[in-house]
Amino acid sequence: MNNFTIGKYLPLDSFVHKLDPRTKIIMLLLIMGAVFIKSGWIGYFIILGFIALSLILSKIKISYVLNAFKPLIMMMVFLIVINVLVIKEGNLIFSYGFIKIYDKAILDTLYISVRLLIMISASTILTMSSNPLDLTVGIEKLLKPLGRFNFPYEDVAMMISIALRFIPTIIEETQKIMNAQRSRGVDYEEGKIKEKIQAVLSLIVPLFSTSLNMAEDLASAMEARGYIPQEPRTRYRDLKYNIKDYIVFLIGVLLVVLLVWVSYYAI
Amino acid sequence: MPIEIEKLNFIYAKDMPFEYTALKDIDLKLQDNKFYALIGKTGSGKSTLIQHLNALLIGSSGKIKVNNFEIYTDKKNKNLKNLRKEVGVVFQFSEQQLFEETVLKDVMFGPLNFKVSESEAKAKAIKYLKLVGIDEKLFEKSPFELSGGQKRKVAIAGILALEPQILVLDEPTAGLDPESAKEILEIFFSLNKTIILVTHDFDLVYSYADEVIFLDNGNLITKRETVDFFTDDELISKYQLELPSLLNFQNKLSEKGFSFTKKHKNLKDLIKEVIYE
Amino acid sequence: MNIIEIKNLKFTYDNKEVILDDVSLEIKKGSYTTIIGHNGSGKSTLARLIAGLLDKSGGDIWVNGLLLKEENLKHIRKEIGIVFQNPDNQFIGSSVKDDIAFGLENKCINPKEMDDIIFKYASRVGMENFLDKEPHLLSGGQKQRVAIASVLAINPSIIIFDEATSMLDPKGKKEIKDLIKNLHKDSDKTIISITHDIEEAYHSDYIYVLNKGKIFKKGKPNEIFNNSKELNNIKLDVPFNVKIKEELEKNKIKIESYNSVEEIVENLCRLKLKN
Repeated sequence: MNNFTIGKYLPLDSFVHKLDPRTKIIMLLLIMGAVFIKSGWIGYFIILGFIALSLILSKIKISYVLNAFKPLIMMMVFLIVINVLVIKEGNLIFSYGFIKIYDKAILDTLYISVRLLIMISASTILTMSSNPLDLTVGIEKLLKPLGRFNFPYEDVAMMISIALRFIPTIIEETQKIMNAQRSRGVDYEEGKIKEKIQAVLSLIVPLFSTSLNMAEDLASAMEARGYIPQEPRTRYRDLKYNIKDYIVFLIGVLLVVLLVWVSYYAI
Repeated sequence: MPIEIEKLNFIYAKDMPFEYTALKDIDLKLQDNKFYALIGKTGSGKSTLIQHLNALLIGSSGKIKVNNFEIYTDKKNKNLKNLRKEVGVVFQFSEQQLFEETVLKDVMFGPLNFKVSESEAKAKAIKYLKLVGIDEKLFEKSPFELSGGQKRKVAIAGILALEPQILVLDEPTAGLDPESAKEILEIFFSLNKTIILVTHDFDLVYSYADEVIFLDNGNLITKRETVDFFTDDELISKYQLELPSLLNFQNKLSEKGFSFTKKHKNLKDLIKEVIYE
Repeated sequence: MNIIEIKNLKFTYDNKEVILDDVSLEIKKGSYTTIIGHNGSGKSTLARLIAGLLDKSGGDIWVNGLLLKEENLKHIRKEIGIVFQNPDNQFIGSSVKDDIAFGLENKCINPKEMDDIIFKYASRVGMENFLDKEPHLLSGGQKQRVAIASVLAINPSIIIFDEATSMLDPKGKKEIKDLIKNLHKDSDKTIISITHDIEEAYHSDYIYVLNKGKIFKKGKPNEIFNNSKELNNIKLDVPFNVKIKEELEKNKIKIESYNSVEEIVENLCRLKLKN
C-alpha cells in the first residue's frame, strides 16, 4: 500500500513549488523533446544537470524520486534484455550459443535507459512539486487554444480532476475487495493459471461494479449541484504567471538552443 | 483456547512521513464458542485488529496464535490459507465481494478455493444459502440482480460455507433496514461458533454479547463481561460512552426508587420485575 | 403552503419492475418531513424523482408551484439541494474548499466572492478549519458535513437528505442529525429526510411510510408509531419509548404520555405511589 505514494504531491515551500504549473508542464515537455535531440552524452549530461538542479531547488529528497523507479525496474530490465539481444550492429563482443551481444546494442540500451531515467525523474519532480488541482487548471489553460478547433478542453480537464480525486478512493476499494477475497481463500501471489484468472476476476468484477456505482452517484451529485456539461461556469482556482516563470521559460529555451548547438557542432 | 494474542504491535506506513502506530501492545485471550463484541471509536484500531486474526495484516511485533496456528511477525508465514479456513471474516458492505455468474457459484467460490470437491462445495452452498433465507429460485440468478439485503445475505452465506470455527463480523448489518438487520443477526446467534462482532450498536451488544472488548486509540482498554462493562460508571464516563437504552431505562427507574434483583438483558423481563415485584 | 405536491407518481424500472406506484403526497413549506421504509421500498427513488435526477413514468410533481418538466428542470434544481448516502461518492472537489466551490462555479459566481461564501458555509457546518484537507483525510461524518455545506452554498429552499447518515458511525450520525435539526430551527428551509433512523423520524414534523412503492401510512410521529406490529410487518422498527409503552400495555398498564424514557419513568413513579 505504501508504494502508492509514488509521484504524490509533497507540499513543500520551494522555488519549484511556487512556479506556475503551466511553466512546469512546458518545461517537462521541453525536456521530453530535448531528450530526442541527438546531442550525445554531452547533451544527456546537460539535461541530467538541469534535472539535478530542479531537484535541489524543489527541496524534494532524492530517495523519494528514486522510489518512483522501483515499479519500473522490471519493465526497464525487460527492455534492456530485448534490446541487447535484438540489435545486431557494431562489433560482436560476447557470444554464447545463440546469444550474441554487440557493442552497439549495449550503447543503444544505455541511451534508452538514460532517456527513461530523465523522463521519469522529470515527471516525478513535476507531480511531486505541483498541487494536482493547480496542475489540472494548468492543463486546462494550456489546452484552451485547442477549443477553437472544437476540442472539449473543459471536459478533459474535468475528467482529469475527477480521476485525480478518485484515485485514493479506488485504491482503498481495491484493498478492501482484495482482503475480502483473500479471506475466501484467494491467493493473489501463487497458483495455477486457472486459479490466477479466477483471482483476477474476483478482483476486477467487484471493482468494476463498485466503480460504476461510484460513477452513478457522482454523476447524480454533480447534476444536483447544477453541473451541465458544455455550459459556461466560472473557476474558483486561477493561475498567474510571475517574473520567476518568465525566467524559467528563458532558461528552458536556452537549454534547448544549447542542445541543438551541441548536436551540430560538438559531435 | 482458540485465539491468543501477545504484545501485538502494528505500525502503519513504517519509515514514511505519515507513520503511526495503530495497535499498541495488545494482549488478548479469547475462548471457544463465546460471543464477543469488539467496540471502540472509528480509528481506534478495531479494523486493524480483526485483519490480524486471519493474517491479512501481519503485526510489526508480537505473537498471534489461532487454534494452535501461529502467525509470525518476524519471519515469512507459510500456509496462511489453512489459517484463513479457521477464521471467516464478513467485512463491512460484504456484498461488494460478489462477482460470480450465479448466486450458487459465488457461494461455492470460497469452499472451492480451499480444495473442497465440487459436489461438496455445492452441497455446502445450498445449505448455507437456505440458512440465510435465500430462496432456491434465486440460486441461478446473477448476484447483481438481487436487492441490497439479499446480496448481503449471499455474501454472508459465502463466508459461512467455509465453515470456519471463528467468525469475525465487521458491522455486518450496516446500511440495512432494521428488520433485515435483525434477520441476519439472528442467523449468527443461532450458530455455535466463536463470534467477534465489530459494532457501534450498544443495544445489540448489551442484549447479546457475552463479553466486550474495548479499544481506544490502538490500546486495549478492557475485556470483560458485558454487564460488568456497562455498569463501570468510571469507565463509561471517562470514554463518554453512551449507555444501552435498556440499561439507561433501568438506571433511571432505580434512581426513582425502583429496586431490581439484577440487570435485565431484555425489556420483557425488566417490565415484569417493575410490575410484579 | 405546500412547497412540494406530488400526484399519482409512478416509476417503473426498465418498463417491468414497478418501483413507485400511485404515490401522492404534500410537503409543507419550512417543515421537516421524514420518509421511512425498508430497503427497496422506493424511498430513494422518490428523492431522486423530486430532485429531477430520474424521469418519472407517470404522475406529476410540483415544486414551489412549478410543474417538474424538461423546461423547468434547471429552475427547479436551483430550489432543491440533495445530500446523498455515500460520503465518498458525492465529494466532487479534491479538497473541502474545492468541493464547496463546485456548485458555485456552476452558478457562475464571481471567483473573487467565492472564498467568502465558502468560509461562511464551511463555518455553518463546523468545517472552517479543514478547508484545504483532501477527502481521504476526513471522517465519514466530516465528509457529510462538507456535502451539506456544498448544498447550502447553492442556497436551495428545499434540502433532501437521502439516507445521509446510514453509512456513518454513531458520532457522525449524531453530528449530522444535530446539524439537520439546527438547520430546521434556524432557517426557513424545507427539509425532507429519507431515513432508516426511527429516532430521527420520531422527532420530525411529519412522516410518510413507504412500503413496496406505495404510501402505507402518513401522519405525525405519534400517529405513525402507535402500532409496532403493523410497522414490524413491513420491516420497520419503533422507537424504544414506544416499545416500553407497548410492553406495559401487554401487562395491562396504561400510561398517559410516553414521549421520552424520562416521561415514562415519571409516569411509572406516579402509578407506583398510587398502589
